Amino acid sequence: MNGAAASTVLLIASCACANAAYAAGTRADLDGVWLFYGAQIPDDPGLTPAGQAKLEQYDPLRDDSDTLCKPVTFTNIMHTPSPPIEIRQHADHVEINYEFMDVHRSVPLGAPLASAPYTVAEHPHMGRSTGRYEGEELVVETADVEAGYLDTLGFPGLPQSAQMRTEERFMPAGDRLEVVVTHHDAVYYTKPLVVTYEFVRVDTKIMEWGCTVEGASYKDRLDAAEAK
Amino acid sequence: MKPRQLWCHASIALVAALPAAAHHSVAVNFERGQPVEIRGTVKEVHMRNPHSQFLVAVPDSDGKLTNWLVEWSDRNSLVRRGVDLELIKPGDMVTLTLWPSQRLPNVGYFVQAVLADGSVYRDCGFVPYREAVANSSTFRCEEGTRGSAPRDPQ
Repeated sequence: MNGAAASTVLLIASCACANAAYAAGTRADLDGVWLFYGAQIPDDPGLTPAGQAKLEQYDPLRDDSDTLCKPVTFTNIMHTPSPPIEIRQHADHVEINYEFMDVHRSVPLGAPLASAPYTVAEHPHMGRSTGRYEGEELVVETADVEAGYLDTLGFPGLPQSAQMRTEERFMPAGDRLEVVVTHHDAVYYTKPLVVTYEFVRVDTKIMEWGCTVEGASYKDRLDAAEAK
Repeated sequence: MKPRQLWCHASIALVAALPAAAHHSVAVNFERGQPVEIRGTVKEVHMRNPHSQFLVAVPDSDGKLTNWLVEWSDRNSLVRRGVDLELIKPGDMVTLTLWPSQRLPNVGYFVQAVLADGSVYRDCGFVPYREAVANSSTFRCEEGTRGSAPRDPQ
């Protein structure tokens, strides 16, 4: 085979591989480990009266589920600055491993949301998710979450009802990743709550978190302080 | 707007917002900017997640001891930014600068330590590490006299 023919064969082969990957629904830019770089939170979350009341009930020393080593929502996890997240794309699902609280999520591609499995098997309260690609963006929808609190930064105590539906839009751009999360919850919000996260690609591996309740909870100290 | 364009647009605002980003309990629970200083003997050291902690016995002027709980970053981020996990050991006499808890007595968040050997260790925090990652530069914490290069966490 001469050089020109070999180059043609290589070109065709590489195009075929690229097309196969595209058809399978993978985007090379998204794979990797990502470190939180910042977030944009709306000035006004648009709480309903019920949402405002719920927010005002929140006690950061008693109601932050982090202190019970319980992961709450993906919004909350992505908002935790230091532990990175890892994304691995597969033909029929996307694997997202969050170092924080050792959360390992599997998002099926193209599955109906209502019948999708719980996205984190050992934490069904985090809901069911399904994913799809729109161009170069990965879009993940989540529903069937447990009522409680959505996040504790920006506005500590932002609530969520069991009707909360979330769309996460992963938009890679080289070594940068933007994730736009839109929360729909008419019980507590008068408008969609949109939070944008920025990540940078980092050359590291996800480590074990191994959360220790004894190191997280303030309950005993708070009880003692309030008993005086 | 394409993601790359939005990234560039957002980065200016994000840089300004970075100092406010911290682990949930730090941002909400501690009085940042109003430090207190304690001096005492380290009784317990727990380098763990989600918070590392020290228990320090602090004597008052009459010699009566009060236990202070000192919180620090999660173990994983300390490892990533090259902090010596044996910097402070049980039995060490240390002077600690802390952000006090807003609601809990004798609880604070680690800012700086004068160690048993007299050297000073000031925590750089996670933001400089993250900036180094974002700028593809080498991270070094040189704010104290005790610093070390980050280790590979694996």
